[in-house]
Amino acid sequence: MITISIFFGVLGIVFVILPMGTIAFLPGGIALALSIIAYFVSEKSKRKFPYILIVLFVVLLLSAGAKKVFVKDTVKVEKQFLKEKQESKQEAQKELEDLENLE
Amino acid sequence: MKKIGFFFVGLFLIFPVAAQIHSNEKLIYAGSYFLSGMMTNVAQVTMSTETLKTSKKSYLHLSVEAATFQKWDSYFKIRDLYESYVDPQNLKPSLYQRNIYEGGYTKTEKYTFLPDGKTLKSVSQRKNGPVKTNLVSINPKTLDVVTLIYKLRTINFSTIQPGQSIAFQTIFDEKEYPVWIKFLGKETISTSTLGKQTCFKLSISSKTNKLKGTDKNLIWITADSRKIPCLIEFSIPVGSGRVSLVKASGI
Repeated sequence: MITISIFFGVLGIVFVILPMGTIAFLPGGIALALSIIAYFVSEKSKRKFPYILIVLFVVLLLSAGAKKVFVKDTVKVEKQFLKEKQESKQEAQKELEDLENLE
Repeated sequence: MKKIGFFFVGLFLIFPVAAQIHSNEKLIYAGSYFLSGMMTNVAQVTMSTETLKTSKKSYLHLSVEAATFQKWDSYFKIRDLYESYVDPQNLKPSLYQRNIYEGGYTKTEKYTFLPDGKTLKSVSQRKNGPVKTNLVSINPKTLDVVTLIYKLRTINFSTIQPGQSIAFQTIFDEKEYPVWIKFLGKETISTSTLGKQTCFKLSISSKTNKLKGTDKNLIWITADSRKIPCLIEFSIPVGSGRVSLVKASGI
């Protein structure tokens, strides 16, 4: 159970790093749930590692939440793209005038 | 198309087009992709219009721009620009331009609709490839994809029954495709920018492998004089997604 929990935890970390939005909650939540189960089914003397995992996955879920709240969906304005758009319009104007001369 | 009772109507023959598309409209959408059972915002889609004047005529410049959000740019950057120059009265296209950048892949395409109405001059170039020029025979009613999107807003839905379809002809990658727009009826949906809106629900289908499933490519257009596309759901071979209106101006 701890192995599966770690697997989902790693997946959650990858999803938090990548711009996957709320998807990171899915593996993170599974990892947390499994580590909580592991904590309770473990003998009292062996609960330290599941406890560390619980703390780690809570931090992971908080990170995913913070990223969702604070990282806004914005598009980077690129000078090159704006230039291409302007050139495209100028080219279109010339093309349309040539077309009108064919009519 | 697959069921009895479907009714195909040549839009231009039956419904005179009362253009409702004005200059300086700007519609901004958030494009989401269905990943691991959840929708993830990946790109912004902007539809805008403006007037372009030449020495003899005035055109409506329709453009659709897609750009990935900055957080995705490092992984898979998209900067796509689709443009069409049309007659403002009947939305007949004269020129279509496509300039795409998708994760390093580039393609430019230009279609000039020649005055004979039956021929299109295509000039295209893929990344590092040669410039290809072709003359393509087309149906006189053929529209480019950008014009087709705007054309949907000129349909008079009050004369169409739910279940009825309207046929269009479009051209993409130098190939003509028939496209059917099926009117599914009215539905009220919630939008982030316009609140609750009663919309015309339309299903788009085509004889192409670019669209998947029956009634899985849907568009909701406000059931008022503005006919704003509020929501689009799509299903393509590589997945499914949603495009939702987030900002509207000039309408």
